[in-house]
Amino acid sequence: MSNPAVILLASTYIGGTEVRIEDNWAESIHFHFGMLRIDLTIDEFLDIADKMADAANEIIGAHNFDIRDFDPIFLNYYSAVLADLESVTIDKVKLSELIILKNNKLPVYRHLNQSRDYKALTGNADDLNNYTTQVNLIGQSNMERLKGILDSIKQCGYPYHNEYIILRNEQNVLLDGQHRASCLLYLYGPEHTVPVMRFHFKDNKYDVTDWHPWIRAIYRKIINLLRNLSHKISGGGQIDV
Amino acid sequence: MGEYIKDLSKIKIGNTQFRIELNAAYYRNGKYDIHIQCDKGRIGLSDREFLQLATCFMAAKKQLEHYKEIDPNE
Repeated sequence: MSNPAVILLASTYIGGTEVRIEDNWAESIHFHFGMLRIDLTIDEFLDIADKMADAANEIIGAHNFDIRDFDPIFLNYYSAVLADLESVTIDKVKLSELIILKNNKLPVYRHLNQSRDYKALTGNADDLNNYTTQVNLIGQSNMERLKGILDSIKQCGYPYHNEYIILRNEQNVLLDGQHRASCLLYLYGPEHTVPVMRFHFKDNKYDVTDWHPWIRAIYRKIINLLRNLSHKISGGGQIDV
Repeated sequence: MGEYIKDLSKIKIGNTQFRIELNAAYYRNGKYDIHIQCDKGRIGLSDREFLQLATCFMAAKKQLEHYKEIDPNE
């Protein structure tokens, strides 16, 4: 019988197999890898997470990089690119020069003042409240998260605990830190210069070369449609790439 | 198989000890293959796949510490 009090802690897909880590209240931490389930005590789970962080640092081996310095929820989202990370540097950038990727109906690159977080801080919270795919801490709303970061910057400054805005290679396109950047823009204005962290990838991999990502999104949708159609005709179910 | 390089760490589940083993990449793209193995079995992952798994555990740990109010420094 399944436990009704199950909290999903984190999930990902590895090679098409779903990985889920759940807290089953009054039972144990369940680690699901496809159809396989392993039950862990909380102590075992915490120990495994620590040992894996150590191992990940050795595997990445990038200069000035310690995986524990970063938000693990961000790292979980971008984990596939970490193997290509070569080094991390600190730079300074004017807030007006920062570029974000917006994912509404179609993905587009925009200046930071178009972010849903900045709009929310300046009085229009519709986009932020309707953004349902953002992963927050359990029980935290999008607005609570944003206000928490704003309060933290007001009280403790930026960067706090080495939590920098992260940019890719030499470009000013954000990888992480849109909330922090939006709060800084709200507090100090577009001419303010802030320290940022740059992730340098091998051969400048993950540079933005396609400034119209919606073209790629439409292309992917068409390819998926055609593949699913072909799959259905041959008797299979729906697939997604 | 990819050449064994070294053990990265050891983890214990119940009475079973697993090794996280670093190997040169053999049958996948990437620099390394990672084996999580005990005497009776093994899971083989590419370096990218292992990093996905590791960061998933780290994200889960952060969530657990947050809502159970566990102090990570204790």
